[in-house]
Amino acid sequence: MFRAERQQSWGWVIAIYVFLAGVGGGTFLFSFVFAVMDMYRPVARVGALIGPLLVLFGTFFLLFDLGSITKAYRLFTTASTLLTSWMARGAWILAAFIICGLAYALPSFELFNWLPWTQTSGLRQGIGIAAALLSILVVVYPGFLLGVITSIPLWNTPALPLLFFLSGLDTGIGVLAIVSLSFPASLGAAGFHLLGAAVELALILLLMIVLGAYIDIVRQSGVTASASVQLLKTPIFIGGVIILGLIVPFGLSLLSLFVSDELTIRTLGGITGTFVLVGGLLLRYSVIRAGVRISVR
Amino acid sequence: MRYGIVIDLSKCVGCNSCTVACRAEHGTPAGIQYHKVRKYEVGKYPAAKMKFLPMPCMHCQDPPCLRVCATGATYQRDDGLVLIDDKKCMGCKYCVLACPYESRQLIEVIESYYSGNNPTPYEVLKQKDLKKGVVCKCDFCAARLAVGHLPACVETCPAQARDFGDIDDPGSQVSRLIAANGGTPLRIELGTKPSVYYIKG
Repeated sequence: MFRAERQQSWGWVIAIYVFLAGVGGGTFLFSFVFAVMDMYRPVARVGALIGPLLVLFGTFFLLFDLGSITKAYRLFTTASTLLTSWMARGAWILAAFIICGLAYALPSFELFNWLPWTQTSGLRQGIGIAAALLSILVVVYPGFLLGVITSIPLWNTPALPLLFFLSGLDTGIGVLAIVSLSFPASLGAAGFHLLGAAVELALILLLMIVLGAYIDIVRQSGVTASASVQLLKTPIFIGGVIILGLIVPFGLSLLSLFVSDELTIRTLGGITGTFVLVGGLLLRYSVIRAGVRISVR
Repeated sequence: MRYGIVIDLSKCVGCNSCTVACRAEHGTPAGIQYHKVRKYEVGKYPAAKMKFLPMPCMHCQDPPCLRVCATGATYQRDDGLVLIDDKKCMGCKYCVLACPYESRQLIEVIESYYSGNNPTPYEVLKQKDLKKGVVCKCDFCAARLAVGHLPACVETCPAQARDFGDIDDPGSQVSRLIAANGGTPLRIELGTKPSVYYIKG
């Protein structure tokens, strides 16, 4: 009776924020895991710092999208909204992650020797565990932020947090692959790109399955949702997300497993990382822009 | 006690008097509409007909906009009115997305309705408390209710298609009209429990 219309409230700015939250959280999580396993220390050290910084950078986009930025402080002074609003919960999750993530990362840089907790102290490890758990929430919660909007069926699905989680991990390892280009094998990055390629392959495969299932479930769930799926048939989604963001990196990662030259493996890792990042950003943008509202009647 | 409106679609002629009365009452700037009349077509040519769906805010009993509001700006009064405290709204537009009835809008700019002109003295007076960068919507004319008047849209309807009152009171005129004519809210399946009921046209 009424034509279903595409939402106009959120666009590029929110997509960039959701992307940066995913990348930052994913980068930190992998860095923390590598640090705990005592692998690729220089990469993990820098990654643990880049993660919270990317999330911090992302929150500026979130603030930039507000109509009245001066009232953003109310996110932290209205505790009752934590019971119902994923935006309020997200604000606390972001703040806690940025603080804990930086508190964990900074002692490993000489400039911050003055901090009361040292690189090897138990307190730092405790903060690191808290930050790692928070990083998972940072990656996943935008899925709930969009997912509770019942008036937009494309978003209102439990598959969205999972999709954002996998994409967050995928882009996180992509950032570490790029970061590690500045650390030669002699500095402890030997074999990183091979492991990175294997992890990337597994994640891209999972992402393809979840993304395919997500689109299929949404397409069958009603007229509005299938209108959203139609809106996904854009060059940005098909060319950017599926081809550049999934198929090309999958091929490059696969190729790097069969190459023995270190320089080629590293180069392939860097290129794969870049493609994965572009795909991750365009995935967020596509999902947000294709959000079609149910008709009012 | 819950204020509500019943709209008899068999009487609505789509004249938009309600929309204009709302604009006049609130002095809404260009691009902002607290009330809309949506048009749609039923039937097939040559028996096609134009129908109308007047839409104020539904003042839901379980409002999705209230649930998502992160700053406490959206609140619900004991009489069922869902209102926005613009001193608390940060303009994140989360509620705009959450409202299934598209009742909310962000005020991005405050411009005269008469484009290209300075605001009229009437607009200056009416818009003095309006703020940029916050979300706005129909408030069932809370200021008029406070002094014993009906909402502007209800009072002005020339087809007398609307009635306003306490829908919690089974004896009220509005409740009796709903009961007698099988009035139903929009998209009942969403569980938002709107306070605006429609009698089939």
